[in-house]
Amino acid sequence: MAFISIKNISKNFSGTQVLNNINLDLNLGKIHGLVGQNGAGKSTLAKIIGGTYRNQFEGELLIDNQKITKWDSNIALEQGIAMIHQELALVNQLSVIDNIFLGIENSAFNFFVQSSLSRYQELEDKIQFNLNPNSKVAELRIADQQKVEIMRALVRNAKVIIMDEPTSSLTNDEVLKLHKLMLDLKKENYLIIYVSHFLDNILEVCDDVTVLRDGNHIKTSSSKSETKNSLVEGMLGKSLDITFPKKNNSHYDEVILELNNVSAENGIRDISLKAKKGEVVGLLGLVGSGRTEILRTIFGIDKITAGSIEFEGKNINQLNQVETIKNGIAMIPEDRRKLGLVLKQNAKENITIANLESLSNGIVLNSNKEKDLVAELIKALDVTPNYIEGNINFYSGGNQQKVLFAKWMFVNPKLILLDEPTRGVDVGAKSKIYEIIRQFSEQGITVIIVSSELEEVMGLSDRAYLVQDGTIKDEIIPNSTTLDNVIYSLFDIGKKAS
Amino acid sequence: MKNINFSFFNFFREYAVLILIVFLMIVLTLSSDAFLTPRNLLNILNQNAPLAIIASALTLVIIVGGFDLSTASIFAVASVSAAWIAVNVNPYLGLFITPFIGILLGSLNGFILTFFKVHSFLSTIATSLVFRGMAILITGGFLIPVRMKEFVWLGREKILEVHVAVYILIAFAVISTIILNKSKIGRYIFAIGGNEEAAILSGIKVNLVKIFAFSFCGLAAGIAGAIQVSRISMGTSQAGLGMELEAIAAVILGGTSIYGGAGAVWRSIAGVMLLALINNGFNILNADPFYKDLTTGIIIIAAVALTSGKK
Repeated sequence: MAFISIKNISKNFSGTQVLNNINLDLNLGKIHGLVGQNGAGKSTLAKIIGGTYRNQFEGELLIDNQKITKWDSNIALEQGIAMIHQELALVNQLSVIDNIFLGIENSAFNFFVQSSLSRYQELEDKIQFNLNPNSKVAELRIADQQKVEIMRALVRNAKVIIMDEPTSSLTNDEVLKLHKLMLDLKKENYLIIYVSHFLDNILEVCDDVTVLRDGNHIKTSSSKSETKNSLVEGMLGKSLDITFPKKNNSHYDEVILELNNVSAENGIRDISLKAKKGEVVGLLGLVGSGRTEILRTIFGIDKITAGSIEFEGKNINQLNQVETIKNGIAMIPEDRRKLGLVLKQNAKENITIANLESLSNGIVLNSNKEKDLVAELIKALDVTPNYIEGNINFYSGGNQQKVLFAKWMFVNPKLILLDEPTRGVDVGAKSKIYEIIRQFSEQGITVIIVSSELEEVMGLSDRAYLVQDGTIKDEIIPNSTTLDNVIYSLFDIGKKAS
Repeated sequence: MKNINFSFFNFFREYAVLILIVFLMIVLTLSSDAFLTPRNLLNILNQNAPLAIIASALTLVIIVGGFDLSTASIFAVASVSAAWIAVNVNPYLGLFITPFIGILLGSLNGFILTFFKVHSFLSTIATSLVFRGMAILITGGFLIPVRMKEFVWLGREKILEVHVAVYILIAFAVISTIILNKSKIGRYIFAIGGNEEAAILSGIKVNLVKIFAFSFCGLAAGIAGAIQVSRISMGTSQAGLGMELEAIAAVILGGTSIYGGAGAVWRSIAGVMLLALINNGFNILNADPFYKDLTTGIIIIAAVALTSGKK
């Protein structure tokens, strides 16, 4: 019998139906994929199983043939179901080991008598994550924080581990390691529920895969019988290849940004690069290679220690972010919920916040002008829902990202720095974002893009730099090389390091 | 070179409160012979024991992400109750009941803020008025003098040349430190203050931990109230006015994060001592007391500037 049995489960959020009569049986010892566009309901379904939504759903959930009556994430954990959230839930100020054993520490009468180190070591021997147990979580990269979450689930003797988009911030070799871990766990009779946008990943490790579309269960089948195309077909209801918009063939000549031998406190060193007006420049590299740090340095978040940054012929070494924005540089960061959006404000307020001067007559804001402009942007970027005062907290990743793009289009910058612009974004929204990026280029806006999806950088950029170990190794023209070549050279470098 | 600067800066930020204390001690030692004597130093410790006890426990509340603005009122209820019971029933009972009064009122704070899900800043402003009102009702608006030997020992008696209050402070600070750093509930206090969502997802009974922190803070205020009323041998409903803010200032001054999630008990005691030294300095130097508040305020700003993230 199935360990988890989902019977006629439906869920709506204040009137919007997000899941519709889902029926699904999940067995131990399997890896089960959940795929669908953003908004298809796959995260919602995962969260219902994981207890995030408590009892707030219709239908029945059976665990080990027992119908559950009371349900929340703690009860789920007691029943052996652990959820690893897309937005990681760790205590940043505590160490790795303290986070892992949080809530289940060794103690006698509430006081610590022995450290949890031996338990940690036991686990580490099994999975070999190579984390320093005493590092503070705040100091770890997202990929490592995720490992902490996985270890947390394992020490709680979970039988079921739900992973919601676990790979979106991992490098290729980290994904391979995660997959190997999943397969090992499967052998030990764990059930892994794997929610992901990355269909290749799903096909690689899952036994079965379930496709959701608009809250409906489209199909569940063995992943052997599926292909990337057949899954996308199910997700979209039609076949769609991800295509990149055509690059303009125009010749770029006016250099707008130039870095000369730049080193910075964040660890990048001796970076020299150029970006021309209207050009899309890619930074290709693995997580931790320094690609994000290059953007942060240009934007003035991290201080530079040597070299110079010239923007439009002017030295901008010592500018802070307010001044860089004034100079026409914008940045859309990786962690959009934390760093990009004000979740308590609505779509309109988020879009206009960086350029309120243009709406102000010096005393008050012109709210009609604001509404018109925002409505225009929302329409142009195809943001759904299309209310100008929509609550962005409930928007899908793709639509939140579009709101951020709208914000910066409103500022009308000369240079846009994009860090993982399509992380956690569904296929439909992705191609829209690609279009927007090319549109920027046509308007003469320079774009520098960083992404873990190498295809994306290759497909979008006119020119790209290979970044490794905090510095630039090479410069390539994506159109005159292949993805294989790039991966080869990135991993050739990787081999040397290990 | 860069690294050395960086770690020096970090060290300075980390221990700013201690550095300021050492600095003040040097200045005071050089400017007055009366300062660096065991008698004066023990005196400072003794005088500030009630505030330091409250600040120790308040550290837990602030780390868990809360505020307690009712400590001074609990302090007042405890001291007038002690005085009333001493006069009407038994002086020992009066003193020994104060910790329980403190725990009771503190847990009430905890229940109110977890049950109604209000921020503790607001709920403890309200309860501080309620508690102060209780203190007024107990005294009926009068002072309650208690001159019994069985009552005043707690605040005045010495063992081996050191006041009883100082021993109580040391014991209380040690217990607070152990709870905070060596117990599960302490770990949960850090976790909740750091990321409440993550704490909930780890199966931590968040409300219970918060109630504990506020009860513990109440306990401290109760004990502090007993020491104070025994020392001045007079129960007054106006006891400890303004003390709640002094305690919060001391905790933050010590370097405990006002946003919760990080901090230490020793820091709060150091914060109390820093404020006390300024006070003491004015006294032994015979400086114009009109400048005292002004100077204290400026030193707090200086300490905050040193510990903030701004370089």
